[in-house]
Amino acid sequence: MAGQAKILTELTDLFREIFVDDEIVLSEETTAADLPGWDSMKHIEIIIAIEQKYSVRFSSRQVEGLRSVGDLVAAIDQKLS
Amino acid sequence: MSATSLVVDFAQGGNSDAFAREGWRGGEPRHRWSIGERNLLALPPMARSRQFALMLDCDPAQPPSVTQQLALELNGVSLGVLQPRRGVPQQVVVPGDIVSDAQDNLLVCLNANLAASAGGEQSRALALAWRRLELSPDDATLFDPPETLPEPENIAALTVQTIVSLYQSLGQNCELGLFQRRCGAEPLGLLRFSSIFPDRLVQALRNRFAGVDAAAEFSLVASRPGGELMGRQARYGLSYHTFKNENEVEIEVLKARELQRLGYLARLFNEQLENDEKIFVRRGDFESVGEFRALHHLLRAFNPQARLLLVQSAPERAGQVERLGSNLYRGYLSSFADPARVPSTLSVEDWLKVCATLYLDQKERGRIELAG
Repeated sequence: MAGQAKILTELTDLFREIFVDDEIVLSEETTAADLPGWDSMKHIEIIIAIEQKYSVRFSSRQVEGLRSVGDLVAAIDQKLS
Repeated sequence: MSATSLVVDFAQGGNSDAFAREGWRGGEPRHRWSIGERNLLALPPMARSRQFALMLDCDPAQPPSVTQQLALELNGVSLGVLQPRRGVPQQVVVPGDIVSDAQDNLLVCLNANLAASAGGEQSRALALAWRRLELSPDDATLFDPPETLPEPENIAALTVQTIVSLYQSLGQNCELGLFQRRCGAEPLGLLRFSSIFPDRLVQALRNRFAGVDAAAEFSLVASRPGGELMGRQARYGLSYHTFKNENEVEIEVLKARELQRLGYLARLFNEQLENDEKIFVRRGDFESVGEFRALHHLLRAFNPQARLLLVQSAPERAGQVERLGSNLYRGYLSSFADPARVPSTLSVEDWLKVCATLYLDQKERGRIELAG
């Protein structure tokens, strides 16, 4: 769980960088509907950045299932463990 | 002994000398010309099968403005008349009972609309640049006439986002992508907002989009001064929307991001094909059933169960879907959207009916996994 909290913090930094917005605050419940500009184009950027940062690789099937920040955190945590 | 399947490679160093009889020039590095109005190939005896697929990969000698015709006969039985197009293979269905398992199978190619040769003799004019011919048992069930699928009784009861996310565009334009957006679905797709010509799509599928992220072959072009930047990828002739205007981004930053995105989406595209996760969709610019089948054949190289939906415009059949063969479908819209007035001219109801009809069919067949 501590790992997931750390990942959430890291993802917040990553989202701030991608969206060029230091005010972004993420929770596990955050979805694309909550964050202006989180469209399919931005989603690709997010996935690419996560894959590079954590040296992980998501399958196309996994990517389709990532609908919220909580999904992202859980998926990264699972890959790292 | 009869062969189970056959590939004839017409390039220099290939095996076409063993089969070419009348009306052929010598092989060139990548192809071999057939010449004159009649060409003959003697194909070996084939092991018995209920039916065969004959795949032809050849380019017409005439420019695209002239329609060349190729009539095919196997062992004296007509297989139909094709209109070969540059870079777009065709597939013909061959009934198993006309194929011999004991003697050579004689394939006669009759060419029409050839230009006269320099010496004025039509009989010596170049006909087609052949690259490859494949004859193999075809296990796909064919429907003649095609089977029309039952329409869903109550689309409102279905989860529209789930349904439309099952589909993945094979390019031509962004109509499907915008329809998906209209339905609140944003599936990731390499060709979702792209256009790519049929011959280049064929080339890209054969190469599995290798090199799509090559920097030297990529450019960003503004549709008008200050307007939207379009991504242009030269290797496969890909052109797509970036949804970024010229003045709002640094070109080099966007370029780097787009290249990364293209490489990533190509990886995703190949995975989706290999894992049978999507129904791939192309609008009706593959002009004949033979071209549909050949496109499907290419997809089946990724996954034998690959599904393909071709969408055409036919007002009297709007919203209907028919099965042309195993995992090969054709859907109809009343009209395609006007590219200058999308999305307001989208045939939303027709698209939805087509997608829902096929979705339910796939669900019944147990072919919905991810979107279930």
